[in-house]
Amino acid sequence: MTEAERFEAFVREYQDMVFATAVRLLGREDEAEDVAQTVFLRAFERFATIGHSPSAPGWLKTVATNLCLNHLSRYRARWQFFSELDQAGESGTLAFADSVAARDAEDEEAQRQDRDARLEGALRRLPDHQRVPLVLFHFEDRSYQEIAGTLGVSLAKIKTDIHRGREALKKYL
Amino acid sequence: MTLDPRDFGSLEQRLGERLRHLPDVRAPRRLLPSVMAATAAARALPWHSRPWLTWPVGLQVLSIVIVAATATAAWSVWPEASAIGAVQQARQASSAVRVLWDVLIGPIAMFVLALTVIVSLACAAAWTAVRHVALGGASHR
Repeated sequence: MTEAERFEAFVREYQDMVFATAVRLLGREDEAEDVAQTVFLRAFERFATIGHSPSAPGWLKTVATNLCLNHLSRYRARWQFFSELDQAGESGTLAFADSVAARDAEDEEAQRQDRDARLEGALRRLPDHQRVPLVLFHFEDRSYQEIAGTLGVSLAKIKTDIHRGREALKKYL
Repeated sequence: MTLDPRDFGSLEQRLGERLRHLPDVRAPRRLLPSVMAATAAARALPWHSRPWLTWPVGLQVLSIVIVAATATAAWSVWPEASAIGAVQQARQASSAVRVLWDVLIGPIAMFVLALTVIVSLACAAAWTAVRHVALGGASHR
């Protein structure tokens, strides 16, 4: 087996995991695909080291997460993502939940989706400041404190944003 | 909306359970070909144009040896780099700095310091104003 074939098998094995991490954090498939490609290019540069390492999945997930957080802060100009000034958050979330329900009611295609697909879709449509900490908590098993440290916001804001995100997703349970 | 602590735990558990059991997200089919194309292009580059981490191990070791040998040679060949030379250089440099401070910088140091503080405060005030007024609603999609 050549090195290229080994790397192809490596990508084939972990591409779903890397893409899932990216798309749940970013909420957009096109951006997640770009991030996933960058992750695997970095893995390619270190393939001699991580190719057969048992820590490869963890390494890939960490790199994907960090790249997504960089991407969110760099390219989307979300000035209040890291701020404490989210005064409109509460009413905005309620309006968001209503708008998601209205969209689903109008869209027959969405009604045919199964419960998991609708939950996955609703998760991706959450505002960034709710989706990112929610994904880090539930999918990456990070604590509130760790998430607050990673995102550079207060513990109280993280708890509030995660709670509002859960409230918005409650109807999909 | 009020945050009821009693709801917090149960909702967290229920949602966490559902999210953990969501089916795996499938990567798009074009991801693998695009990654392999990008790595093939990277492989086509000559070794010296690739990142150091991707160099063959022998070349990595050789490059480390060459850099270490060059640094050692430069240190031993350059006479002013000896300990005595370094002390003398430090003395000369400190004398030059002292003269510069007494003649040029000292007389205006307080003025420069005050100006720096004022400009920094002005920048902070301007940034706060921009953040509150111009960019206040830009974060929500």
